Amino acid sequence: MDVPAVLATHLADHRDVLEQLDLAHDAAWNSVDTRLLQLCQQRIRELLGSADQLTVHDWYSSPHYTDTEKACLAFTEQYIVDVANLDDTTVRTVGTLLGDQGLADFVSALLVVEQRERIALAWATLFGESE
Amino acid sequence: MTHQPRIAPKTFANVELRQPLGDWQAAVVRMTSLDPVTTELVRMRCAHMHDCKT
Repeated sequence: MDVPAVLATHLADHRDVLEQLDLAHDAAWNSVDTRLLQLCQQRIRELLGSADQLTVHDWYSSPHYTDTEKACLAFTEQYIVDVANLDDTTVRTVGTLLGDQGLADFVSALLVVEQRERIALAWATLFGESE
Repeated sequence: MTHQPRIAPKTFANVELRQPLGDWQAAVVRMTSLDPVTTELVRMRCAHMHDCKT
């Protein structure tokens, strides 16, 4: 699924919303380490069923990820499945590794990425990827 | 569910991210396709899910 294309198609009549969404997207990627956010975006897609292939699903046992990446992937999984019940330990671990400011930036960036993925998936499923 | 704050008071995402995120949400709220009652129901549901106090 081409997320930017789906969003552009279905927000064609709401250019101001699309413009702000794109600005938020750019800001998210400028605020968090690119590889870290890419890993989390991929895991989001895997959990939502929109990934082309599974590449991060085995992060827990993989030696290829740093402690920070694993902490953020654990956070991402809980965030996607049940954001209201993120446990303190998972949040605290990310906060310890990234710091309070880093945690705040990460959560906001994750929100932007997650919402774009969910919105595009919902629209593509309900209305198709193009009009 | 209500949690205790998990980030130090007055810690927010950096303004370069917070500003466009707020602007986007404001642009969504300004949309008029959905009636006000349904919009408010959705907003309240989201606020509950995100443990938001507003």
